[in-house]
Amino acid sequence: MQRSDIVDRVTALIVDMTGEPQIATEPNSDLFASGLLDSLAAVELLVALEDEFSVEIPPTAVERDDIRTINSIVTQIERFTV
Amino acid sequence: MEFYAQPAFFALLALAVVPAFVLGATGRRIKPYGFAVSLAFLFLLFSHNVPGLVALLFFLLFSTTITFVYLRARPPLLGRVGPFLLLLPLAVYKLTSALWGSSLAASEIDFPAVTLPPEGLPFTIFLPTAFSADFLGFIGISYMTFKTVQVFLESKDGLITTMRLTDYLYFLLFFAPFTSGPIDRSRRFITEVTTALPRATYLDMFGKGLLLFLAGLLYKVVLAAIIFEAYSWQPTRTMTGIFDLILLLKDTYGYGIYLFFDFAGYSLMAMGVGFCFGIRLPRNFRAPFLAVDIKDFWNRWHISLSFWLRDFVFMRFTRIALRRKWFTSRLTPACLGYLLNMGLMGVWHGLTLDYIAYGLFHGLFLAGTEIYQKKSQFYRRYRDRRWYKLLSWAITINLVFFGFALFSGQVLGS
Repeated sequence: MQRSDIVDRVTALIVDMTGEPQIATEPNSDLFASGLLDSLAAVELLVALEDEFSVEIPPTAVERDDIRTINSIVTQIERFTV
Repeated sequence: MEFYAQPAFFALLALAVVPAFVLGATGRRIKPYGFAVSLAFLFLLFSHNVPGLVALLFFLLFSTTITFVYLRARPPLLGRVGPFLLLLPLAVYKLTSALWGSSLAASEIDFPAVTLPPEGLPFTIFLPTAFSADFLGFIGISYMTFKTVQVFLESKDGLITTMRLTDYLYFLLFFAPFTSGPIDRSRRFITEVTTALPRATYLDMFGKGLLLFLAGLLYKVVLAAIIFEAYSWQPTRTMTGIFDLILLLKDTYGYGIYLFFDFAGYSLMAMGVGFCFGIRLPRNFRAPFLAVDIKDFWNRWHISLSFWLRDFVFMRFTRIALRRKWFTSRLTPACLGYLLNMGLMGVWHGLTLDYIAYGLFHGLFLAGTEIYQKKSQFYRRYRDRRWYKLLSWAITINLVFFGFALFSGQVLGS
């Protein structure tokens, strides 16, 4: 799977979850610091990512720092889809 | 011998750190020495408490057997019941101590042993005394249970596939956080102790460790002690006028501030010792009284506990609830998750009305905040304004102190 494809799908998921379309233009924006993600949203995101990419991500497999931005989430997905 | 309280501990600690420094500064692994020192300190901790030592040895045998049988053979049934089996000694201890009274009480549950209070004050609940009716209980059982459950659940998740027995035992028995945390995580711990640190990295860690330890000493021995003298805790204060109300408020806020300096001081010292032994113990406090809402507060107060509960209770519950679509509203699993999370936290402190009320209060506070932040247009519109943050901080912090009053028994007095 190409990284650009993962970026597109992750971005679409996060825009859908947060209802903030401008986040698509800010792949390095801190989603927790900006208030777009919190504990619940992080769980929702993990469940959505598992469904989208057919992977299993245990709750403590990724640190919060690993999923702060769209780009860091994409890196984690690459890790789990290898 | 009490950790981080008695002069003998500090003297022995100073001696114990010297070889660790020599090993670390010469680029060698500290683990074998750190393990031996931990056993020596634990021997001193339990030297006058044989039943406690027996309970500890039983706990180690029990948890090690369950964990390593699972790691080797992965029987599905053990995978399902393992976490509950690991919780069993703690549950039995809690139940027996609730029925017959605890001699260990909060000292090993949440807060570390504190400066000796004047005789008669209820703060004696924080002081470990000789073993009495606590079946299976020993100082540190709560913190050790968190660690054993974490290892088991992450083994079940496939994040831990192999583990050496000595690494497991060192993780459980490392003396610095043994009595009252911070609650460490095994994967990072084992990576650190099995890798020889470069000399420069260790020297940097050692310097930080000393500073953390000294800051903790200042917090606990100086500031907590001063604040402790500035108030008196009276669970049965009779309210006859405005003056009594002022005194009550002084005691409530005094208690909360004292608790912070005492516990944060202990945590900083434990963290500092960990650094000196080449182990980056997690931070437990991050300016909690600056929190602008209760969710922010639990990211700053007793962080290793709240993050453990977040990762192993809240996230797992909400994940299952979302995946199995138990509820139509996405807020319901979050609210129930917070109530479960904090209810368990309250029960973990002890099976008393005060602790359970404290847990439920925070669960309701978090659930209410979640609903408000998700539903309120007012919040969305003004949350970034300075006046809003100030108002939110003032409400949060006063309710947090009310929570401390609940916890301490000042409200319900059970």
